[in-house]
Amino acid sequence: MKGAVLLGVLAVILAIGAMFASTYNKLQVMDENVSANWAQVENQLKRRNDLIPNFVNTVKGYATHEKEVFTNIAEARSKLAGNINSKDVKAVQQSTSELNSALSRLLLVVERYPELKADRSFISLQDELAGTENRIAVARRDYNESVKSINSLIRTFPTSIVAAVSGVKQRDYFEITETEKQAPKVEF
Amino acid sequence: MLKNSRALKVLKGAVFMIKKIVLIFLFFMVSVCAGNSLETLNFDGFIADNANIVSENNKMALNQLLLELQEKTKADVVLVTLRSLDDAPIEDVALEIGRKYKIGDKKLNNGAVVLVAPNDRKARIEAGFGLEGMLPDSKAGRILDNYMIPYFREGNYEKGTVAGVLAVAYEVAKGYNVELSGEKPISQGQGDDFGTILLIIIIFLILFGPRGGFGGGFGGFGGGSGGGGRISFGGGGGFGGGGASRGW
Repeated sequence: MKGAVLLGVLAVILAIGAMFASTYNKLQVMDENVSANWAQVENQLKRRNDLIPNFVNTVKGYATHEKEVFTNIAEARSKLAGNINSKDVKAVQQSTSELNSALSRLLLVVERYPELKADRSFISLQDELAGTENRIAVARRDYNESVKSINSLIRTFPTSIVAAVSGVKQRDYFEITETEKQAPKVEF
Repeated sequence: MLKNSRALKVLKGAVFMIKKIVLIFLFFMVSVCAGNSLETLNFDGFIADNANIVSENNKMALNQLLLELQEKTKADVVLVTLRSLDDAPIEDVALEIGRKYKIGDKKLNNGAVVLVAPNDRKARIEAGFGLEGMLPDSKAGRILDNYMIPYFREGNYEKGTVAGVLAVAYEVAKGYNVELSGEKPISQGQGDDFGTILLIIIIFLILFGPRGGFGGGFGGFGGGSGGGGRISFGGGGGFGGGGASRGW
């Protein structure tokens, strides 16, 4: 009789162990996936950072009186460069938003110079920049989707226990607020 | 009489229930359709021409060329024309097509989507990860500017579309250092002529070609243009949003 109880307890422990292991593995894979997606976001942000000086220089050739816009971009760009690789999603988010609004101000400047817009090398650079913006958007969406799936899984029972024990934490979303997406107001 | 009316009531109730079920079912169907805004694509070879702007002759010619490209480089270049983008950004739609249909080789991810939405007056060339080097955004933009948009502005969608697909195919072939048979498209566009010449050759072969030679020579062709989309894409689908878009 005692032996049967012992066997039953053992079986339950084994079952819980197996469940724990499979949940643990699943969480690790998903966590790794989130990290990979985040690396992709950072890659594309870096890529855009590399493109910006060329782009700004071409605009400078036509628009010489827009010093403030150029300075703002340079500052935001170097701030973002400092935050990339920090693993701090919120810091990257903040400096990306700043760079985005500086860039959209630059694009408004561009609108005022028709000759610049017709420049072949400018069009190429603009395509590269727009393509990279789109890549950032795609990488951001992929990243946020993977964050959503791991976060919602961690929030459910019994995964929450496995996550707490193995140190897998909820991840931060990478969000660009809606106001940043719109072109900033021009002030006179 | 009483019995009759009771039966009527039951019948009415049953009809009401059925109506309800049908309504719920319809609602479900509609919401499923609304969730997936992309038009259904029935690929004939490498082409899904929902907007119906490319003639059968040109489809055949393009499919043959794109099949040759796939055989030599494993790269999938596909053409999609849509009746409507349903207010979705063309970048998102092109990405969805590339990923959903797993265009490009599984390992190389060398797929490209040429997307034309004539009613929305928008076009995009989307490059998979494996083609981003050969088909950078600036080059995709230049192909749109030089080969496609000038024709689209004139309302000549077929010529611009064919010239654009040819330009993308030749650019990829150049990147892989392979030669494709057929003429290289120029800015003025030779799309129509190219297709016509090819069609004449094909008709000539069908009419006058020796039976044995016909079968052998045509073996590789059937998969591409025979219709029914027997071509399978490489199973890649690695797209990250590279490419360029234009409106006109």
